[in-house]
Amino acid sequence: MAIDIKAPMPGIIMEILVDEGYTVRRDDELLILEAMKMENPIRSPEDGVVKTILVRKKDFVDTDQIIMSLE
Amino acid sequence: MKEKKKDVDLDEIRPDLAETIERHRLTLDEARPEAVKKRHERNQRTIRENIADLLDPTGSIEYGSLALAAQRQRIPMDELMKKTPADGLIAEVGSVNGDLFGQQKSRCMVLGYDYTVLAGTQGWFNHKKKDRMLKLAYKWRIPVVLFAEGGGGRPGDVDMTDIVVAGLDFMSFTLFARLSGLVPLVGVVSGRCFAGNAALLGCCDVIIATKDSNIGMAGPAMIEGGGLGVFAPEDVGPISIQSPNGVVDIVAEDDADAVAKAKWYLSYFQGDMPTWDCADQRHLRHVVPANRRRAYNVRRAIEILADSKSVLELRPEFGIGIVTALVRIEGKPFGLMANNTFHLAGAIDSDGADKASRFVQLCDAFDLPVIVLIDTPGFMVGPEAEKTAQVRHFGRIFLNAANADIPVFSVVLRRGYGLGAMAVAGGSFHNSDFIVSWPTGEFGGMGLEGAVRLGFKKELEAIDDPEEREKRFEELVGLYYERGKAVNMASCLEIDNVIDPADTRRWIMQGLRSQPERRLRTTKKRPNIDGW
Repeated sequence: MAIDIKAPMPGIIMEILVDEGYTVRRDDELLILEAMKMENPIRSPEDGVVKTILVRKKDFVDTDQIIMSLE
Repeated sequence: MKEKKKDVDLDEIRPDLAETIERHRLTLDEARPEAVKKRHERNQRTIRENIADLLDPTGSIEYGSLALAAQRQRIPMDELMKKTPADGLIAEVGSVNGDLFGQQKSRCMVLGYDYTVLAGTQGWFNHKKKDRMLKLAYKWRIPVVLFAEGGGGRPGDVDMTDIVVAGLDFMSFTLFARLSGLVPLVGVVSGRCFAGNAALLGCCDVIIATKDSNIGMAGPAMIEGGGLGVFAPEDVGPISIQSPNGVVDIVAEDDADAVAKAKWYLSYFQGDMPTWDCADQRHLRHVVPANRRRAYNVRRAIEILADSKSVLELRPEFGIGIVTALVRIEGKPFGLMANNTFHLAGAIDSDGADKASRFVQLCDAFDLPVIVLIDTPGFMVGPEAEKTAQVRHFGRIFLNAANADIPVFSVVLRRGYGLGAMAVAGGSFHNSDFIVSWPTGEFGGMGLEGAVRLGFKKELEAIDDPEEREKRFEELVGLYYERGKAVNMASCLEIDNVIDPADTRRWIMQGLRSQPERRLRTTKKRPNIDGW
């Protein structure tokens, strides 16, 4: 089952901490989203494998934009 | 005198008593298997099941259970007795959590609409019953739990059609609203709650609703009547709307959970827990990340700080920049507010301000001391934000804080900047009974970058080389940051101290013990708790 990771708020992708194919555990940090001068770690909601990463470092994302999907 | 006394047969039921017993039997679930079955098929409990679960098993009494719908002109009495028991509103007086808080503090009145009777609508006699009860509630100053499921006004009560036109002179809503701020008003919703039922609900201090319920100021019939189209009840005010918009304070899984949450909520207004424990407080030293720009989960700080399993969050999906919760420390109840750095980096917006303001009113009305965990860059800024009328919404925080009479204990976890930090600290740092900072604390009269831009405008403009200018800018921001560190702030006595996070509970408890004894209130402290 695929899980879409969405941006919880508008901001800039500061860091991507995983690659496609990585195995992640629930609560692992996937990437850092900077908004309002604050670094927000986006965590994995479930155990899984990173299927696709749809953003790159420094990309601007909007609320609810899909940034990554897990399997 | 000479007459020989006959032995009384104590098992004998005379016809007069038998009639009474029979009339009561008809009002119980046992006499209405079809109605009960329908309820259970919908995964709901009957109102009597809910009330039996809410009230302590010892000795509640029921008022007005023999009422029937005012439809004698069109429905035979025996059918009315079967179909409209108690006229669809159960009114009982008993206790909740009596085992924990004793008889006096656990007193509770319950008003529960019965959806199996004419869809929980508000009829002539159940209004009359409710008015009677609400007058008693005012006189006794007894908390009220309202089970608000139901369809609003009942047009089918025909018995008074010659003498009642609109019935807008009924006092129910006024009497209910008048209790606000005097006693806790707890609203519970399961199923559908529309119109008049929702009007009562909207006056409650807290709204607890099951996740599949619907709440609206009008149901499908009135919406269609208003020419707005045809809707199913499920389309109107589902919880996916009513929780994020701030109407519902607590979402429950089902009826049983809703009742459990109502008991839990009430407990904070009933007294101290005799026993408690808490997490190892040294965990608090690691809640705020070492990286000062990193957001973190403030709910974790709350969970560690408060007694184990004592956190009841209100409106978790609304105004998410500020977390509001009822908590206990060493068994004593407190209100707690905290900035959430995951939302706008902790900046306070209009929804967050409204949420905080109403929460302060709730705590003030019932003398709950307030703990504030501060980490905010201040009030939200920008042309978009101003569209939300934030000038007035932020004013509400100052107005409510300045005019509340409760202890405020402020703890700065990290950023204490500007008007926003002042506002949540009770309107001013020195309007807090204490304001202390964790070592991670940093302070400023406004955001540092903005302060440098304003304060050093000319100096910066005089530097021609953009790189040099940027360097000087960063240097000045760094200088301000050093100056605003918690220890420096404390050295100038703008905060009362910098503390080991693990000591926070000790500060709060001594802060509480330093207060003079509160006299038991017999009157309202404030006119009401605002609906918003």
